[in-house]
Amino acid sequence: MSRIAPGRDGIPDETHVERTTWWRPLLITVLVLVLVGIAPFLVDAVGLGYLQRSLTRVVILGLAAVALDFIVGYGGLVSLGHAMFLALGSYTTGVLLVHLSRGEGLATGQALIAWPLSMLVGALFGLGFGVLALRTRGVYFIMVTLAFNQMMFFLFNTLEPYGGDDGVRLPERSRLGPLSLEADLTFFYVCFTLLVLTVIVFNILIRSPFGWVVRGARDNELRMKAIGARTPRYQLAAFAISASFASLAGALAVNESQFLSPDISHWTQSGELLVMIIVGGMGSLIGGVIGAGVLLVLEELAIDFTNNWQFFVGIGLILIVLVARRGVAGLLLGRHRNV
Amino acid sequence: MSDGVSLEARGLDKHFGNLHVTRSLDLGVSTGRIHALIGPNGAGKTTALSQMSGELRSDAGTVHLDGVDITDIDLPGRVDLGVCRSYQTSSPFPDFTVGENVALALLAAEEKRFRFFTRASADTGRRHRAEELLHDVGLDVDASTPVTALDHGTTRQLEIAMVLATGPSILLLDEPMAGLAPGEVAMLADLLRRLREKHGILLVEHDMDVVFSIADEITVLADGAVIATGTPTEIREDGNVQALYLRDER
Amino acid sequence: MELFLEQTLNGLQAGFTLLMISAGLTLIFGMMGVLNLAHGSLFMVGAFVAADVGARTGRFELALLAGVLGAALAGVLMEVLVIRFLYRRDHLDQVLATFALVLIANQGVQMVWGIRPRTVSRPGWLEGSLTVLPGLQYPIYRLAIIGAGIVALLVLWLLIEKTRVGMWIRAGNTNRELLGALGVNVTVLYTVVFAMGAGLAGFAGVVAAPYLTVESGMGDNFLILSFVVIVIGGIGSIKGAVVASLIVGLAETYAHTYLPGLIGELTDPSSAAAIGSSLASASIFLVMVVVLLVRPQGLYGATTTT
Repeated sequence: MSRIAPGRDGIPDETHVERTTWWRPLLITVLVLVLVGIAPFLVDAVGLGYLQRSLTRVVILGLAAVALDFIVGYGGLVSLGHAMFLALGSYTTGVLLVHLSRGEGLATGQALIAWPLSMLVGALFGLGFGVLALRTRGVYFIMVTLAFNQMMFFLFNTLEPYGGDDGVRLPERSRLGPLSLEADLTFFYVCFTLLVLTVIVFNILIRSPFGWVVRGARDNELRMKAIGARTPRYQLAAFAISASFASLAGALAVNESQFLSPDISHWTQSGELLVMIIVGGMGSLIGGVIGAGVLLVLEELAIDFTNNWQFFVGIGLILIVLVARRGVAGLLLGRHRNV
Repeated sequence: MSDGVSLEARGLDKHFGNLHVTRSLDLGVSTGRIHALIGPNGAGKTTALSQMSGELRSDAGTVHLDGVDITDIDLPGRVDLGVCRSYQTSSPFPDFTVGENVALALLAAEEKRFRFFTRASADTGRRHRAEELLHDVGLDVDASTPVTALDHGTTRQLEIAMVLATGPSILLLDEPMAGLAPGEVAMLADLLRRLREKHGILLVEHDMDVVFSIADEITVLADGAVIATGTPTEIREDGNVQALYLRDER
Repeated sequence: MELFLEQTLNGLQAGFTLLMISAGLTLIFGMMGVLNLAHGSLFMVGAFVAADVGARTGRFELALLAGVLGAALAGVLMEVLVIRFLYRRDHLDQVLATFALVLIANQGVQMVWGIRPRTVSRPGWLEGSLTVLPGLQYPIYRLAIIGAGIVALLVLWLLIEKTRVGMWIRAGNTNRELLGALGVNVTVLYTVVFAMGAGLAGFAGVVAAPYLTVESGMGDNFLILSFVVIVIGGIGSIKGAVVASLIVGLAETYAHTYLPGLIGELTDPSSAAAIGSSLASASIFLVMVVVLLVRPQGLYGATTTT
């Protein structure tokens, strides 16, 4: 607590919070998920079928953004290192697939093994990096998570057996039990199901006693300690859980692209996840999905018009930060956070 | 909360850089007593309170709870042992309702392992306990009121309810009356008198009328050191204290 | 022994380059409380402008001047258009808005100068090597970078410690209201300090450019390394930035030189090179980890008291 530099972290400025009816956030969440669920058919119907693969990416990165929103929006811990957890999931699942294609022993294409294993790896690294990063708070925490992200980026780049900085193609996707995921639509709905489960899990978490302490520590960590909560333990657990789900997203992402590459751990990917939760509305969980949707679909549509998409994203983001901080979900929900 | 719990500090010292904020302070409080800590601004009162609560590590000195050395136990650890502090500025959790704030304090203090999958607000036992505590401190508003809708006076009451929710035997209160209207001060003073029956209270307070009317013992700090300690009558007649307050009229 | 000396000089050169970036970053944070992710972009802008002017004129001195001014100008634009509105915002807003600036800058340099990487050549009069010690030849240009780093540092120190503006900067570190009360135009002062930090980053970009490829995103890694420097040194502390920059510069250089060899004695040489370079890249982060464990506020970070 005492060692942090000027602490003005995390908390948005809205001083007065209007309570709307409890069902409204729930309704928005369900509506957004339903919309995402039928989106493959919608885009097809309006002749934008080529967007289908982008929709899978929306679901996958949306899942990661929901996990990130849990510690940023509800925990007040701004992690600029979540891309490394994506990558850890990608490499866990991807490495197993690479060895499978080389016909080697312990390798497996079974998602029921590879994906939970990816989550476990993410959680363990989350614990390790979390212990260190949580020695600090505020602006230091941002810098430390970013530094770890870069360290992992370098390490992934030197993994020569897996293509080093070039990466390596995966000849096939994981199998989910007996189910083949080679068909894009099947794979979409598997990812979608996992997204729905993730949204449910985090919605339960933020309402649990555990979640209350995490949220309390966001608003005033010292006060939380003064009423008896050992907040660092809670924050560490929250960080590891978030990391674990980010790694699940990574495991899905490598299946989507069928290409194992260190690029997924590039620090700008961490930044883009943060951008997604801001665009969608921080501290609303479902906002992460909205943000991923807005960003990725707009990008896909913009490619026809400009090569300089990032430039315009940057300008839009500045406007959002300076003017419309509450994001899309904030506008839909009519207030800042749901309880 | 058996009778005769006592918190004793010996020789507390704290430096902030070159600033010597507390100098070999001896302070103690036990169940059934209100010990007021007074002194001009910057005398080190809040620092002393932070050292007793475990929030600040002392450069020197010890803190004992019922004869057990708790010097190395941190803030949440001391809350577990029944020592809980409040803050000069109100800081309820803005994201929660009045009732939820107290419930949060209840669960923060009781929670010994993580519970991920129960609804915090579904625990009716805890909810009733929270409502009882609100009633105990005389805060009779709907528990589902957002804390942001409370005025300053009722927020101060809520703060006391949150402290009580941790099940403390010793209360360390940092200016609980700051900014209250006279009627509210009287009410809070009554509350402290009632709490004294089962708790020991170390009270940092600027309102001298209150201090002299409710305290059993008063310690006067100046420049981080104790210049007098005794009953209200003794303090009132102490030459050093008079000199100090004439010098620093407030 | 010669190898060690040579690597020490290389480490110092890397350290001073890093210092020119992190000094501005930490100064700006200490004074204005803004975490600027786009500080590395200013380094990049300096290099790009220098590459352009260098290619047109063939004169390194002009390229250097243009690079510094270009970065400073970019800094002023940044401050006036965006950063200025972030002083009272929380860190998350600062991260997002300045991340947006990174995206804009990385794309912007491509829009202006194309996607083809560029180069900056060393000035002719700094070509060649100097016999530093009997048996040790060392490139003059690298020595010049070390020299420039020392000079920049001295100028910065004199400015902060001995001038009126420096007094304001030091006052602003602790109390911005006080500055206003003194009649200082805080808005202008912040812009000026920001421009100075930007110019310094641009300077670093130009002098380091001959050893780098001038391309979009080239500043990102330097930005992250200067964050490591700041975490190690303690935020807002110039002294911390100096010590930590040199530690990081030396640690990285030594690790890249000696680790592969050390590992090679333990395993077979082919994998040693790969493992060694991985570990070398990780080495500076390990320094950071040690600092986090032992002294999380950084070597020269203040222990605040709340």
